[in-house]
Amino acid sequence: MNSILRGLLAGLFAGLILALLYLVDYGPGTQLHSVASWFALDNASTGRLFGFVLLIVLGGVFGIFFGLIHRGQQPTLIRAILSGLALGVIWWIVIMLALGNLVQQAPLLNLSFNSFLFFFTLALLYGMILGTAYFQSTVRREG
Amino acid sequence: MSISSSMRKRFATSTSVERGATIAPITLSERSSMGLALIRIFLGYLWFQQLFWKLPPDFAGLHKYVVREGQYTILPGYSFIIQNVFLPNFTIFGAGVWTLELVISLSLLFGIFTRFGAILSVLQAVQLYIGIAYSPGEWYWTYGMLVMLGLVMIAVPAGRRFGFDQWLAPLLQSRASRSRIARWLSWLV
Repeated sequence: MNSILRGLLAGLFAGLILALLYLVDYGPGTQLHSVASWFALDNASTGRLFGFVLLIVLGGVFGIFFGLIHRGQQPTLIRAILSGLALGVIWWIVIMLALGNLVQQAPLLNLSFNSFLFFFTLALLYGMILGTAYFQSTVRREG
Repeated sequence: MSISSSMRKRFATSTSVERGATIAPITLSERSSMGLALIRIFLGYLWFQQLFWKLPPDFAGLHKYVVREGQYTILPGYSFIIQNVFLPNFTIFGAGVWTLELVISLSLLFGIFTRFGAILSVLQAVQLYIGIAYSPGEWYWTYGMLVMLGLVMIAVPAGRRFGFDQWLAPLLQSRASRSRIARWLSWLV
């Protein structure tokens, strides 16, 4: 399996976990509306579904980037984790902060502690799962 | 009644086997390890979500629950502590609870010293059970399950897949023979 395909699969998996975490909030799935609103796709009836699917698709896209970064090399575990976390930070800045505020015509750095804590932590978690899942797909298992 | 020599021999053999019996170790498969890691992430998310209804600087959402703990606790004397220590110093107490739950959630979400986070989660869940589980409108098993989930995360190395512990565990174990701190820390991953 080449690194881009590995990255795509790891990214889709991490995106699915992220989408499930967004689904099980108090709403349920209230934050999925936020995801749909980053792409101006939110509405009362299908906003959650759009949000759920978008997280998985975005997960796959960032997974491909991850695979490109590690093309032609076998990353160590800590390198995979750290590069995953770095990609999580980029996800947060580009998608959640910049695009989200741009679409809603809010100031670029419009940010409350509440939303920082929630979205930043989950973006990092996406990166952690992406990095470890990618690493897991590259190692040969004992036994 | 007499026992024949062949029966006696069989009996002796079986007791010696029982005395020296061994139990095959249970090894978690890769899929089981990953499944447990996902449960760990969702348990961490459970704690993480509870940060948002008691946010700093005033931790206002927490106040009414602390008052209820003072009214419905099942532990004699705990009500006195809540009324005379916690409530008069609510901001400090609230900051402590919030920070504790932040540490628990980050530890479980990211698999960093997962067993340490799980120990803290059990302590906090036991405190909740003692304080609030039997108050009106609460289902006491909610807090019982929270305790048991934490105990499961102490029992199994759930942070060693999809978590920092996968990197930390071998690192600490390789240094455990030389460093006492590394040995202690290796118990917490």
